[in-house]
Amino acid sequence: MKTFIGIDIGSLATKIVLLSNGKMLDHRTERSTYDFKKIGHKLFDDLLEKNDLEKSDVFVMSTGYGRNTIDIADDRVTEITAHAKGTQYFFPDVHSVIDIGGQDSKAIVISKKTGNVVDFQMNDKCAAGTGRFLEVMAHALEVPIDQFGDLALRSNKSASISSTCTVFAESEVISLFARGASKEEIASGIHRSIARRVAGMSKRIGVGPKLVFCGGVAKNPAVKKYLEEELGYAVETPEFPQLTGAIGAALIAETNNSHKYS
Amino acid sequence: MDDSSLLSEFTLFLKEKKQEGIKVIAYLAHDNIPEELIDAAGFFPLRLIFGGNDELMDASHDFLPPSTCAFAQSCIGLFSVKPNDYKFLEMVDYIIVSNHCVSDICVSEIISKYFNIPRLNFYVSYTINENSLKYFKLELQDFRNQLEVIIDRKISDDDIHNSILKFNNFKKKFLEINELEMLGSEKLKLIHKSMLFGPDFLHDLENLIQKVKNAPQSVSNTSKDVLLTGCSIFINDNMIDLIEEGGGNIVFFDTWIGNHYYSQIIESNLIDRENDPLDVLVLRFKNNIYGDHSVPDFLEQKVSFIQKYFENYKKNKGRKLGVINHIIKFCDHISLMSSFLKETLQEKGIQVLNVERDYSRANRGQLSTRIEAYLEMMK
Amino acid sequence: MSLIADEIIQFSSVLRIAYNLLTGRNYLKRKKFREKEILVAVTLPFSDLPFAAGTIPVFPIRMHQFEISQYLTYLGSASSIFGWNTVSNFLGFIRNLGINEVSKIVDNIIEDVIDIINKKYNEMYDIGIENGISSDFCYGLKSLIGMHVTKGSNVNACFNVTIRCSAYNKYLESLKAINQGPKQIWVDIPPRNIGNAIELLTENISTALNEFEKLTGNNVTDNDLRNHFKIGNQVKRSYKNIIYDISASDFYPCNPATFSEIMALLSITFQDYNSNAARYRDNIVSLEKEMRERIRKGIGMDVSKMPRIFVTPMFGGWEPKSHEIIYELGGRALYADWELLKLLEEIPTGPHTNPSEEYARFLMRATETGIGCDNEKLTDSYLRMASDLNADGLIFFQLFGCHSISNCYTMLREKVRRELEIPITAITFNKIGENVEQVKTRLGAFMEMFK
Repeated sequence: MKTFIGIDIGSLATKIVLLSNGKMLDHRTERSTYDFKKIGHKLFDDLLEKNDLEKSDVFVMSTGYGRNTIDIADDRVTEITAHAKGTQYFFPDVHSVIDIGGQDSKAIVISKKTGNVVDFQMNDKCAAGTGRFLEVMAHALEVPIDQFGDLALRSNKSASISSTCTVFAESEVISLFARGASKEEIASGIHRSIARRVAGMSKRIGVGPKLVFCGGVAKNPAVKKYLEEELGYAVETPEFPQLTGAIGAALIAETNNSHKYS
Repeated sequence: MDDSSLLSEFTLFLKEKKQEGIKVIAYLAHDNIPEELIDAAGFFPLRLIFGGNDELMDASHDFLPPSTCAFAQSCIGLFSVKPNDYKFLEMVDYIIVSNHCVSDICVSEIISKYFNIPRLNFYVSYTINENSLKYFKLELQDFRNQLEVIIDRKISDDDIHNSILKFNNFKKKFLEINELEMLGSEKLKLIHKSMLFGPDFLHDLENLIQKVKNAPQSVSNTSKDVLLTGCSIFINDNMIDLIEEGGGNIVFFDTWIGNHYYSQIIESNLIDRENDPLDVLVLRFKNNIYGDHSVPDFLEQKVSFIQKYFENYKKNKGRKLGVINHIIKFCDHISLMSSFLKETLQEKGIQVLNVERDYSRANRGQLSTRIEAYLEMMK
Repeated sequence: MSLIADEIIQFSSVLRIAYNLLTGRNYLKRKKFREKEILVAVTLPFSDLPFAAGTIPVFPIRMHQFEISQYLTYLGSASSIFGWNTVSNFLGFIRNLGINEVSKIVDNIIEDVIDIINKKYNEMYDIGIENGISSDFCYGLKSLIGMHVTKGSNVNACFNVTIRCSAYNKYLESLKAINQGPKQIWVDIPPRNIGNAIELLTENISTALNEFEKLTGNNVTDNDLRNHFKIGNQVKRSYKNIIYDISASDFYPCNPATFSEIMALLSITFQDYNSNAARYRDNIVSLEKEMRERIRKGIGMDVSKMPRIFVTPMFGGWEPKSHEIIYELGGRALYADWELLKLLEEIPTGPHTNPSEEYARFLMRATETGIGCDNEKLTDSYLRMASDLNADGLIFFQLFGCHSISNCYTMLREKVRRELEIPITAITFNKIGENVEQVKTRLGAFMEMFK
């Protein structure tokens, strides 16, 4: 029986998933570093070994930023299509997807009838509105990134961050802190800023419920909360928000190729 | 798509023209410039239809802020840097300052002022109605006067009629390019060469078109058919490569160097030597309903054309057709209307990709992702 | 407490103009629903034909509810009983008594009039982007799209006049895609005055007037046009007097930051005369009188030692904190956009004139020698204005996404240095309130040149 591997090579993290008969069997995640090919190979070999598989037993679909360069892939698909498919694994009735990754963010609208993408919008030119924005700000406030969201939620007031550029926003944050704003207020302002920016981009293509929020930043509770406030409705987050791209790639591989191996 | 050989061929061609004593008038201004008048005066009309790159855009920043149309930036860059392939720009004798868009005004003015190229003026009203047609004639008369001052003689009505016929016949042949069964990039090469060389290329164009008609090129049946609208893909611009690498094939160019150019064909029976030839040129302007300079019906005309083409395509070829709206960054006309165009077409069941870009190399990966994702949607 | 609240209380005409601007919504609702008047959206100072045709021109942002209008409503009610001058004097008296709650209300009424408007502009900007306008366009266009998305369906028509900014012309085209209801009435100004271009433009104006007639069901006569132009001329005369006689003089009727704030208010309200030409005329004539009276009495400030800094353009968007910053750094900001664009030229109204033709000449002059058909002409306009104002320096707001005016800066800088030999600098601008610290730094460096 053929199994399918989806590998999502992002600029910050590489994710890999093993799937068969529409069910995820195993997965790995690691930081991409500058040598994402090496990381990709490492995760791939580890997944095969731990599941007692050979290369010939699997069909590999790559997606993400490095999809065209990883040589273990048998086929490739863009992260738009992959995320759209991957979110349906967790929420079959999903209408829209917002994915905020390390260095980009995207919004996708899915046809309820066919499950295919009908429109999308990407921000991959500007760090503001991505995980990178949060990383830079957390660093500026000397807060660990995994505690940043909780810190923001402790405040019921948000400092206003007017800069749209990550670099200038960092200066603005430092100056707010120097003028006496609390870390909580500033953190809240930062999270609101990213939520506003992404919601604004998403509304332009008509996103609506049921909306799934995925990507690494989906694990941040403050971004989720403020995104819901900006959009005006609740959003869902999958159990493995970072894996939706890889899962989607594997599912697409299975759909397109299982007839060859049955 | 590497256009070096085209450009060296054109350099030789232009050198020959200069040796014959023919002067060169360059212009950015798209589809309303009366090239027939230029030709009748004995000049060669040089359309600036060249894409850019990082170096050329950077070179323009001495004159313009970076938040200017990328094509406009590159035009300045070309005159500033004069890369090897573009040495023929040194042969430009005049540049037309026109108001196709405000970047057109700025750039042609800058090129004239800072690169010492004398300017000619030709301005166009923004609407197309009875009075703007009358105004267009005033501009034609003024332009004719400007040319007559340079050549120190009158341009006869007969000369103008001859040029009108020449360009009209050329456009009729040009029209056939869009209908050819061939790979989009090959079609575009033909379009580029035709627009660059003009009616001098007519004879070769006829032969090439016939050749393709006799032996149509096969295009992979896994590739997705695409109508390109919005900004043109100019010479030395790799945009078409990205589309083809992503699995797309442009079957129709609904752009200035394409549909807009030959949509201004005049019916032969209306080219009457008894009448003022300038009236025929006014008619040509009137026929330019797809040109993006005009308000307030540009969007409607565009939507209507694309919808009709889409429906006919589906009926005749039985294949899906995608629409890529190519937006060069900071293009006033195309960019401002892009969201309305997409919304209106999508309501009619036509999926549109608005792809916005400048000529920077750094954007290649991002553009590929968008184009590929769109083409995947068409499955 | 606003820097300028203290001062503005003393100018009751400014209170009235601000009141009429910020309470436009109530006024317009009454006009539309009770009096069955026709509302026409206008942008830039092209309100003359709508006025003459008996319609109500409105700059779309005025259809919005502004935050403090509740207090201003009370003020307006009080003034309708006691008169504005009385109310204004009373407010000044109350403030001076230092009664906290009342002072607070007074402060709230007057506080940061321009700030309130700017907040709304920013809101419109965000809505414009959310509704599809690319971030590549200037602040002005983004906010205009936002205004039409939110309130554009309230008007009966949009009056569209083409200018040489192609983005602006396309924005006008987009209005019918944003709201299908309102009628679109166009005047296409020929780009140059060649041949019988004036005749053609006159015909275009007549065609537009016919459209207005169809809308209102009333004829628009030559006298209707002349009567409105007369009012407009009075407005323009006072406006020009304030610019040339007062803003360029050595003694101001108030501190320079307040004065600049007043000029900014005039710049916004001049576009639609706050939807009531006669009332606006009365207010601006009164404003000129109040200023001259204060100067005559020696009430105000000697500004002879303060460099005149010509700040332009502002109509597409500018950082409003600039004049406060310039004042704090020892200078005074002069605003004169509409005069620069030749939109303050008076229109002849003699009994034997053809008013449509005179209006055509006015528009053609503005196109040719104001905004100009190219940057050579536009930069000449800036030079002329700077020279007429005896400007000591020039600050040019280079809007992100502006491809028409902002692109002339290189040429302008050269001309200014060569012909006027005064300092000139460009300040980039994207959105109100963004990067005020950067603006401060640049202005700080610039103003040091005058020390």
